[in-house]
Amino acid sequence: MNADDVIESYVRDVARCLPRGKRNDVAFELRSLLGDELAAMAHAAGHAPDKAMAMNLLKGFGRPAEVAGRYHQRPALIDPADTHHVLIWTLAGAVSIAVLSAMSPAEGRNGGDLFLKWLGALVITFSLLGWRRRRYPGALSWKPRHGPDWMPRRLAVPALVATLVFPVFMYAAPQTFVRIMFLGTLPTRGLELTGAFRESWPRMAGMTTLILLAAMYAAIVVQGGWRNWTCWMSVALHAGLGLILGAHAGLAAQGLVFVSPKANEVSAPIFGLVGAFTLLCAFYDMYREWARITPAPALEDRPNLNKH
Amino acid sequence: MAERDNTGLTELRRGVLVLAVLSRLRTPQYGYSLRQALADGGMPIEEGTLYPLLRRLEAQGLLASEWNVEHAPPRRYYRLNAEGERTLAKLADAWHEQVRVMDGLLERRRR
Repeated sequence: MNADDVIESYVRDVARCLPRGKRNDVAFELRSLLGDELAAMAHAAGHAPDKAMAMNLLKGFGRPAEVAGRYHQRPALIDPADTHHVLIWTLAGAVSIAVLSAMSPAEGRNGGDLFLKWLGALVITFSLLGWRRRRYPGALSWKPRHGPDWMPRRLAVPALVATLVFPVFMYAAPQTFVRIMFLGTLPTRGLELTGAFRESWPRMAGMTTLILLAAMYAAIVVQGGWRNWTCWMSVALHAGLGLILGAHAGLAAQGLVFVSPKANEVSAPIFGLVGAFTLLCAFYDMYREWARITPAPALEDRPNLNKH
Repeated sequence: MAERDNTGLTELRRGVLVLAVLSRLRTPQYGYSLRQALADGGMPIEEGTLYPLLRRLEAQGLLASEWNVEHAPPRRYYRLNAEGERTLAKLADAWHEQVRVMDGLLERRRR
């Protein structure tokens, strides 16, 4: 391979990375320019151009894809500014799929396949978001949001009432709950709990956790918003509740929760799914608390500023 | 430390690249001759940066180009068009103003 062959190969590779309409023009000019450069190098060296000289010239020029990028800038498939969000969503997807697979196993569901689909969905979503921002400047612009402590009483009170009515009451007396909610129009015999389950630790733990959750909302109502301790209490209670519901799924799968075998069969995957979702909410809250910052000058790291 | 100094210089040079290139294109130049002209004027530019820049300036409507195939090897000559002349004048004014401002700032620092 002589110097001309090396240049030709390089020009071909650059052209291959360009849009079809630009290839010929850029390749023709690039070949001419590289020829001039090579001739100047040969003149300075005092001998005819050779392969090593051509390689040296092209090394300074850059990778063909980089050179093509300078001739025709393409927008990044995913905006570099979105890298952080893509990584977070990728991790969130991996954790969600792992938790879902562990707590709610389903026949035919393949965690690896699901994760690949999740990655594909992320690439498509973030590419479309980037395209929309470029196409319509100003679209999807940033909007201010409430801080993590925000929880006015007008929201905290309904949250407390909903917690007391829905999970606490429903969990404590499922048959009574359905009878009242549906005005006695639905049969409730299928929801009868087994004696063993009534006395079991998962039920006691579930009941305690739900009551603590209601108490936490009551504290939020009193304090008029989230505090640091209520945030961490929420993380702990939701994580605990998720695991407890996972245990319920296991018991239901063995036919130990309800007297009716059909009710156990139907409820086992529901317990698993709700447990997985609750656990994921706890993970999200944990991440949010971990990532939370209260901007303040780090004076202890800058002794000179402390003096002033 | 040396790398950080170089980064600053690279940024500084990148900022005036377009102005330097436009200033040399009042007369038609092909890629290599322009690079030589800039290097002779004290502004060496990497070939991988300069040649695509010429295409971009042409795409922006500041340069006109034509192939000269009468002599071997064929070469593409670039020169300023009317819009390029206007842009060069505007950038040159802005540059002189920047130099005045920076001289003032640096003078103040020296005192």
